[in-house]
Amino acid sequence: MANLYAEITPHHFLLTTEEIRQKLGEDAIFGFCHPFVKISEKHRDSLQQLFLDGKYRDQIVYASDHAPHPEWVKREKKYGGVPNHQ
Amino acid sequence: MYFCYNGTNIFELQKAFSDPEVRPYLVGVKIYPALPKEGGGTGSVTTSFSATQDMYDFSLEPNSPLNQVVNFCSDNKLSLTIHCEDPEEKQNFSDMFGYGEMDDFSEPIFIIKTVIPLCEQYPNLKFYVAHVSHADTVALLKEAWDA
Repeated sequence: MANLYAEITPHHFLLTTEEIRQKLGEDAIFGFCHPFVKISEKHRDSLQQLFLDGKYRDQIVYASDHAPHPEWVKREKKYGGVPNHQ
Repeated sequence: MYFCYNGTNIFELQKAFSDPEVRPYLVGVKIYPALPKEGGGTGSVTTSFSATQDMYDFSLEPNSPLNQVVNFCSDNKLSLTIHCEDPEEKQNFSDMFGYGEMDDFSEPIFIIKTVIPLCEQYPNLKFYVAHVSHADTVALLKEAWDA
């Protein structure tokens, strides 16, 4: 299926829920994104394997998921995306 | 990239595309599954948590909002990026478990229900699965690429 592409973002690629809590605090508003960074390491690991497996490189793009919401919007409205990921 | 939030935005998309100042910069469209009308507040859109927003109709029926956007992209050679979380599954998941309690399957379910059929139906249209987050999604994508 050559017309299907996958976008990989740094937070899903590098982090788990617990790591976000540890690094960004319990409320972790700047880690709040959709879809959520997952709890199990297997999800992060599968993305890293996909990246390392050169077989699919033509089907993968890398994106920031940058979302320029100010802190109060992230905190009060829980908007998704991760600021400052440009 | 034009962000298309719900079915009514096909008109905004057409308007943007017809604007000579905008068109050179319009290379693709991103769409989101929106929130259920009732019992909302837990949907998957990036910039709206309104519980009153119309649910995006992701049916593949002719003239459905999704098909209108897909047809527009196909006709005008625009790529289509999809925020892949099944709204119903996301809603059920959050009702049962709340956020952060366990991993949800709304993404791979959406890939099976919507994305793969769309890719088959529109082989000349480029589909991008936005911010892949789930191991099952990775497995489904590999399976699709290997097919």
